[in-house]
Amino acid sequence: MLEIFSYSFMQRGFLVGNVIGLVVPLIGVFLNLKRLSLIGHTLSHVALAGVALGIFLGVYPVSLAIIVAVAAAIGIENLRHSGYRGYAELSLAIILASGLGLATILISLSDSNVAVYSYLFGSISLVTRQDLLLIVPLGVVVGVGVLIYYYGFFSVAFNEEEAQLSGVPVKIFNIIFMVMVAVVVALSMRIIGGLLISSLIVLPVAASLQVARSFKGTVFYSMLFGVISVNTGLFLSFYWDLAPGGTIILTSVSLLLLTFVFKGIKRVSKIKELILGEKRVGNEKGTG
Amino acid sequence: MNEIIEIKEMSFAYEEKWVLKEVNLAVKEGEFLAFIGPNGSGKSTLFKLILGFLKPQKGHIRIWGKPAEKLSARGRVGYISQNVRDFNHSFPATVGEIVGSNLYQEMGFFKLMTPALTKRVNRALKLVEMLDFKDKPIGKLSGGQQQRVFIARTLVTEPDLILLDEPLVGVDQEAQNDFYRVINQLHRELGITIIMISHDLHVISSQVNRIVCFRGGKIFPHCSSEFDYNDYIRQARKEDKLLIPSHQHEE
Ligand SMILES: Nc1ncnc2c1ncn2[C@@H]1O[C@H](COP(=O)(O)OP(=O)(O)OP(=O)(O)O)[C@@H](O)[C@H]1O
Ligand SMILES: [Mg+2]
Repeated sequence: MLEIFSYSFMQRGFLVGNVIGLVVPLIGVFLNLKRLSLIGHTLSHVALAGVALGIFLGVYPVSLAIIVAVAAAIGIENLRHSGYRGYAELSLAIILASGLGLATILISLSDSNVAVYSYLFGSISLVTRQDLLLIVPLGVVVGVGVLIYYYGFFSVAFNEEEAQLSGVPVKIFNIIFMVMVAVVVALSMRIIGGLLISSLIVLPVAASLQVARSFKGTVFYSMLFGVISVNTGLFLSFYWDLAPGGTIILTSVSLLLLTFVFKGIKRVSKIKELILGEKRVGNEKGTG
Repeated sequence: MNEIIEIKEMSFAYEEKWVLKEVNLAVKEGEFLAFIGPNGSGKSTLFKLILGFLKPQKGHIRIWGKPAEKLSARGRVGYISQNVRDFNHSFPATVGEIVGSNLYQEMGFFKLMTPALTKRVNRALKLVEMLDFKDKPIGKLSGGQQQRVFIARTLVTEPDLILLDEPLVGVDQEAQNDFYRVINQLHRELGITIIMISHDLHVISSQVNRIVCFRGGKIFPHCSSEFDYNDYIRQARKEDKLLIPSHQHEE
């Protein structure tokens, strides 16, 4: 067995990391396509306030982060559909600023700087059994839920009015989705860190959009890139003693850059083929 | 013949201004109807009322004998909205996925695309001659091709009533002819009731059974394909202004 897996905290880290690496990009696909990735960013700062409150009060921080983030998510969802639709972006900025402000004050009041640091930038060595027992089941529930109701979420993301006509309960889907975003963001604080989660929401999906040719493909590649980023990041952070969150994010940035290169090469070879008049590509479609 | 839609003394206002006032209209099974009238005369609003997205303040709308807002058999009504093509064009969905997602209600508990449902998607795409494009991203098609995909999307649920809100804006002549060919086939062979909103009176009047004109928040009774359309629009605009005295804002 590799040395890295002989530590029980690393085993826990990998287990939690892989759940997060699958679920965050899965949620991220829908969030990005609805052009709501700012909400993920906002909720991560609100969750940070929850964590700081937990540390300040001496309560398990992740559970408080979940409660605070879910409450904020439901509030945001209601705002989004109220008469103040036009101010949605402004209200997000206000909520984000309040969350971060509150978090900063609470952090300065408490004296456990190590704990706070681990929630800001992520940590593997501090993943506890309690984290494991909360994060894994909740993550699995969210992941399985989205995959089962995949076509419903797909319809709502594409066009809410048409989704409603197809018989999708759009309002319920929207609320459940927001709650899931909040839960997933709060759960990821432990390993990715509050300041970096929104990158894991955006980057694997952006990379996936470069290579996928269907919605199914987009979901598949997003989750694949998420898992690759998390595992590579955890390995590197263990052997080189780096912050796991940062390593995971930089890995996903590299993956995104690689997809750009891949796409560039494909385009160049296509142009070459056009110029040389080769017709190999024309017949790849098949009968259908 | 049975009445599919029955609208009685129905009035609707978005906020304080009436958009539709005491409208009466009956649509029979198997009819092909056109709604015409100037911008802002309430045509799209009436579609949304029929679909149950909006609720009338006065009077009622019944569809298959039930209040429109309680319409449960969603699959029986197909709808193509006026801004159906304003979607995010980088949305990574294929034609097949867009059409298939409309079968949501028929997917059962685990919401899976069964082979039977896939067959229906293929049949709908074949009807609009878009089967070859099934695996293409929707954003990479031309406007007219997208239009056909959205028609296939409504057809896949095998609806009895189809509402089309200005489906031919920005569609070239040949594609318009194709469109009418498909629509006429649906109407004649499958007996589907169709209501279509259009500003092109001369073309649409040669296609439909009946024209319904909107004017001054009401349905104008003296309406035919022969009258002076430009004069009608001018008059209708005036009456709409009387109805809506204050600010007139965009959708
Ligand atoms: N969501 C809305 N909120 C408030 N007012 C609205 C809304 N949608 C439409 N209106 C107003 O209702 C009136 C009717 O609009 P509607 O879209 O039904 O017109 P239309 O006949 O479809 O016009 P067009 O030919 O331009 O499509 C217009 O004055 C419009 O400004
Ligand atoms: Mg309209």
